[in-house]
Amino acid sequence: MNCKAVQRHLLRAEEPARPPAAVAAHLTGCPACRAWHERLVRIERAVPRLPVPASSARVDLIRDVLYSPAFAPPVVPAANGHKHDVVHGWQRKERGLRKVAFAFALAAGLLLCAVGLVIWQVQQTRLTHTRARPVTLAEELARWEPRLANARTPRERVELLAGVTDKLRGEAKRLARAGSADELKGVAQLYDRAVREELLRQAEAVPAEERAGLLAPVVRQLTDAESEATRLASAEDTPEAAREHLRVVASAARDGRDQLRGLLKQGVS
Amino acid sequence: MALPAEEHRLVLLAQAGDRPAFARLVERYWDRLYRWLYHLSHDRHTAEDLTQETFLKAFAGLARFQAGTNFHAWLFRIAHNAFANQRRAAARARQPLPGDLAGSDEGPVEEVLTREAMEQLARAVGRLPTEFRAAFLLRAEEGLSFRQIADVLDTTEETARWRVFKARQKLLTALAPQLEPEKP
Repeated sequence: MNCKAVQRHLLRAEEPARPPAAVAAHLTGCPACRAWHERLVRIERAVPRLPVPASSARVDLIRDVLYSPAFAPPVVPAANGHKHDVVHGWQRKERGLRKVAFAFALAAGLLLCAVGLVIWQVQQTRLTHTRARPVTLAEELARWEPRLANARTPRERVELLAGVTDKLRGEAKRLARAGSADELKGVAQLYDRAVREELLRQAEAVPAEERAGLLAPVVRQLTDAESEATRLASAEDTPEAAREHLRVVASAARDGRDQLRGLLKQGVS
Repeated sequence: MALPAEEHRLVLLAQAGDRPAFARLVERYWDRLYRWLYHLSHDRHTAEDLTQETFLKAFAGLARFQAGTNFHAWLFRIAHNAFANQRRAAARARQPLPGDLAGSDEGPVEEVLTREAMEQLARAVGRLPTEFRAAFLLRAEEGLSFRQIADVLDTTEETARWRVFKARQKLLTALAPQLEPEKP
């Protein structure tokens, strides 16, 4: 293969980073094509790292999916593909009866809808007060991990909460880099409460014999989180306004880690 | 990335009206759709609106989605249609989308390319013709096959391949000075 054919092949390939044997052989012996290939692969690998502005709309949408009437379950049309080539007398009678039954059902349905509408309107008036109340921590966390609502055991909750705190850590890091101090403040506060109020409480409820395998990875995760947040808080390119919020994350991670270590020791002794 | 079996289960649950399951799908795909739509539209608010619209349409069309087929590609196809409609509407209103990405967002110094090269890359990607950019990003960011890209963009597999080919060629040309190895 000559250089032009090799380059054309790589440009058309689904995965230029994994050339077939014939192309790889050419690359081994041709420094110019090898350098060209490296440039192509570097570009492909860099693209997923291109920065995009932070977006907080995801959390809003997840909340809507969980609670808004706009996301009420869709009605799936029932399969109805039966065809009858021959229609018997009894079938006609049965169809007639079905039509009468359908008419009654429709009337009953309309009546129910009317009653439902009245009830809904009454409830809407009450909901205006309900919606104004502050969102609970559990609701906040369920926005980040919907499965928390269905978690049955402290073990499950700890596993899910560890995932939530890790997401929050990642979000805090991203917001700090993006310089979004206001959004970062909310995320840092939620991280703090998620660790201190939920994660630790659930970890305490885990049976002692289950703690070692469950909590050790969480301790490592919190150790990493503390170290990362501390480093970011003192990094030169971190905006001043973001630093105090990163210190909140670091402090919560450190205290959480220390308390989980205590629980681990209790589990051992 | 979601495991196919796990994603299949979530889709089936969502089709049965399970809101948390659909919320999980939103959680899995929001960032990826938003990133893609941002690179296409060059505007944060447009990308957010289009991402939200995509999920609303996906939710409304869940009953029609054939579980077991590619949910990933299906979702991106909806997003592409939403983007195309938005562009047409913007053109009618004579409010074209910004043509160039300023590269003003500071990112970390990358291991793969220098910060300067990343900025050049962002600008070069932003200058690609939209259809080249859409296809190339589906390949480089989403890892879709040419067949799947063709499904998303409603074109042929060969056209999808050609668009990615042209995008790579243009990016290599645009970034050649930044990617030259340093001379001793």
